[in-house]
This record gives sequence, structure tokens and C-alpha cells, in this order.
Amino acid sequence: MAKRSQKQEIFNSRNYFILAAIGSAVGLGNIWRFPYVAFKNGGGAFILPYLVALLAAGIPLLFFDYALGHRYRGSAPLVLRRMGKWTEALGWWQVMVCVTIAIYYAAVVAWAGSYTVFSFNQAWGDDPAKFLMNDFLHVAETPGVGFDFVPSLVGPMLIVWSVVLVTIALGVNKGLAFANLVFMPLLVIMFVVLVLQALFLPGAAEGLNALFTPNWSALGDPGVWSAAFGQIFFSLSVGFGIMLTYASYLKRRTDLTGSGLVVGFSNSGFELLAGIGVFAALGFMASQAGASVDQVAGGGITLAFVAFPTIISQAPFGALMGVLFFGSLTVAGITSMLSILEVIVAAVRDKVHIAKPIATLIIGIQMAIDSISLLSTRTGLYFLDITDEFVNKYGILAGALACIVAVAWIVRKLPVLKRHLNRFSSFPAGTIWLVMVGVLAPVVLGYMLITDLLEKLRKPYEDYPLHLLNVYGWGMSLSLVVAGVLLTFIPWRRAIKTDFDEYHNEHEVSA
Amino acid sequence: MSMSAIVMMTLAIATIWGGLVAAAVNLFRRPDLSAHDHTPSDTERASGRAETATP
Repeated sequence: MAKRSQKQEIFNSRNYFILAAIGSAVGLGNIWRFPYVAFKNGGGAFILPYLVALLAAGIPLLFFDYALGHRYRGSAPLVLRRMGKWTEALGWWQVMVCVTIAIYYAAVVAWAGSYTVFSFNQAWGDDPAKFLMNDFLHVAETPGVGFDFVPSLVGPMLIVWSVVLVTIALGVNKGLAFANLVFMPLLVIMFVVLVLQALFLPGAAEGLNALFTPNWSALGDPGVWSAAFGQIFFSLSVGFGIMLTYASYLKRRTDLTGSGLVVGFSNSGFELLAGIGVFAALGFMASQAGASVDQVAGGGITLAFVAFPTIISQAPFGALMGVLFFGSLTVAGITSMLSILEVIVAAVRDKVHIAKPIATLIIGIQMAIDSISLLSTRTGLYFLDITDEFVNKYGILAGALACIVAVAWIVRKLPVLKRHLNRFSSFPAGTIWLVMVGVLAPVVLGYMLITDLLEKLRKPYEDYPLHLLNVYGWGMSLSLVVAGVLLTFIPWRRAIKTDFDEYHNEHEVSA
Repeated sequence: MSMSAIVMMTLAIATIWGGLVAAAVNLFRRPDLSAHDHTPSDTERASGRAETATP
């Protein structure tokens, strides 16, 4: 074996892991998804299903991912291969989901970076919606597949890909941990200043009133509970290999559950902060427009690239607010993207047993080319919208459901994982953990998946043309599964041991 | 802000940020055993075992 491949890949400190895991969990969804989901699903009353979802599914699934990665020490495909031959495909499915997400995620991070610069002179002018669609993205009028490039989008994407790939190639401590050590405090400082600034704007109280006034009747709606579980699930980065891969870099006697609780609550704490900041700002926007908050409230790209530029143009110290908001989006996006790329590079490195910088180079350059080719075009926004919707539901959700069912009910490793968690952890994983992961999580994920499937079959997503949904949506979702299966046919290098002795391994020594 | 909105905001902050403080206190008041652990190499990771781990 080459000397370079013997380099250690382990977090030097548990705190590096915690910071990287929080960096992964805190992403764009915390800032632009949670506030609107909470507002639309009961306002203040949403906190109840949200907390239930966090405690009953989010944190238990976080422990599940940690236990898998830490015990079986490897990337998602290797961990699942060590449980059984056929389960390897589930790991590759998760990797392919990460590949898809990384391709479009880089574009959104690049747009946020561009808007950070635009904030200085408020380049969007009087009409941010027109600026976004016509002057910045040059979005084609008709949804379709095309390669009509927008040159101004290429540079920012190249910068994002370069930063992410160099960081990953530098390794777990010098790259990943160091980046999070710099970016996470920066993100918290920027966001706290942003929230304080938003709270002092006229109309902020009305925004908070709209967000937190409880609508108790919403609690009787299963859709509200489903939204709470969905928010927790997507926000915590569980079920698609990220936390599993990070946990594989932890030392043997790490307190897995204690660390998981800190990560889970930090993610939710940041979401709550984002909710307060975003709705305070929307309250200001509504007061300026003489409208109600629900008329200006929105989520996702509209909130970030249309509503916020409007707020920034009207607010005192708007340029500062713009730099803080879009700077936060960029930093949160980069730390999340690092974790997505780590899943892919770790899987390739494990499978073909090559040094990490080489794996990063081979995979990264190809992905950057695909990403720029698809997203810096006039049809890139359509690709992003459809792919994001479908990969979230039929990639992350379905992949996680399959993995949980396989581990809990087919290879039946949950009791082993429970013992593993309790070996050195401060917070015990008891029978209730088995029930939440083995029963509650599959039921909830299954319900979400079926209701979404029925909805999409009833009505085409966002009324996009069927051929586009068949390519970017259904076709892409299916191709991830097929690719996951095909990748299992590539043989593991001889140096990689794919079986796992449950009784004789690094963990089964006296404490 | 209405009284019900203030109550719900306070409740959300108390449970989520309070939960974070409690989780951090629980984790950091205990000694970190992993700080004294042997660091397994990639060779050990690849083989799925690291019997040389310091107990």
C-alpha cells in the first residue's frame, strides 16, 4: 500500500467534530426554510410538533448515524457493506444523493456570494425580482433543458468549487476542521449582529407577532406534524451519509450521544434565531409596503434573493445588513457543502483505496464541470427547482427510509448499535431509542413519502412540463438508485476489509 | 406583539436554547475520554479493526 494512503483521518479533537457537524447541519434551510415553514404551519403552535419531531426522530436518527459510522468505521457504502453484501447499494444511493445535491448547492452558494458583493451598492436597484430573473440569472422564459451559458455565473461557481475542493483535499483536521473553526464563529457573529439590526427596525414586532402567534387548530392537521418532522429531518443532515461519515472520524471513546445532543440543539437554536431575524425583517418590509406580514412572507430563493434585497434597499445601514445576510448564507452554505463533498470523496477513497487529495481531484473536477454546465445556464434555475424537490423526497427521504428499515429489520443491528452508543456515552440510548428509530422514524418517513408521492401523481410539481419532470425529477430519482446498485459491482481493493467481526474489533476491548 | 405571541416566543427560546445549554453542560462537565485515545490509522480503518487501541 502506498505510504500516502496511511495518513490518519481522524478528528484531533471531539470539539472539531461537533463544530463540523453543526456546520453541516446549519445550512441554507435553517435560514430560508424554517421561518416560513413555522409561519405556515401554526406559527407559535408549531413549536410543539417541532420539539416532538426533534426529540422523537431528529436526535434519535442523529445517534443512529453516529453509531453506524463510528462502529463500522468508514464511508456510507463501506459501513453498509460491512453489514451485508446487498446493503452496500444503500450506501452508494446516499452517495449519489450527495453528488446530485452538491451539483446544484454550489450554484446557490455562488449566488449568495455574488449578492454579498452586490449588497455594497445594492446592484439590484428598484426591482430585485426583475434583477434576479433577467439581469443576474437570465432565466429562460420557457422551462426546458439547455446549455445557453450565462458567463457571469461561471466565476462565482468556480470560486465556490475551488474553496470546497481544496478544503476537502487538505484532510479532516487541516481542511474540514480548520474551515469550520473559522467559518462557524464568523457565521454566529454575523447572524447575531444581523438579528439585532433587524429587531430594531420599525415593524419588527409585527413580524414576530405573525411568526409566534399560535394557531392551535393547526395541531389537528397531520400535514403540520409532517412539516415539523420534515423540517427536522432535512435540517439535521441525517440519513444521507453525512453524519455517518463524520462519526467515522471520531476516536474510540467519544461521547456520541452527548455530542449529538449538542449538535441537535445547536441546529435548532440557530433555526430559531433565523426565524426571529427573518420575520423581524419581514415585519419591516410589510410596514414599508403598507401590507400585512403574510402578504410579504415567503421562503427559499424568493425570500433570499427578492424579499431581502427589498428590505436591504429600504433599511438604515442596508449595505451592512446585506453583507451580513448574504455573507451568512454563503458561509452556512459552504460548511454544509463541505460535508456533502466529504461523503462522496470518502466513499471513492474507501472503494478504490487512493489518497484523499487524488480522490478529491478526480471526483471534484468532474462534479464542478457538471455543476457549472448545468447551473450557469439560462435553464439552471429550473434544473435546481425540480431536482431539489425530487432529490429531497425520493433521494434523501426514501434512501434514509430504506437504510433504517434494512438496518433495523433486515440485518437487525439496532441492539448492537444501542450497545455501541452506550459504551462511552453520557446520555443513555434505551429501549425508547430502539422504538423511535425502528418504528416511529420508518412510519413517519413512510407517511411523508406516500403523501408526497400521491400529491405529485395527482398534480405535476409546480405545473412544469411532464418531459422536464420525467428527466430532472422522476428520471433523476430513479437513476440514483440504479447508479447505487451498479457501483456495488466495482470490486473493493484487497486492502479494504469488507466484512466486520462484531466480537473482535477496536471497540470490543475492555474500557 | 400579542401576549400569546410573547409567551410562545419565550417558550421556544427557553426550550430550544435551554436544551442547548443543558446539552453543553452535560457534555463538557465530563472528562473527554477520547482525548487520550490512540488515533487509528487508515490502515486500521481499512481493515475494520484496530486492536492496538489503548484501552
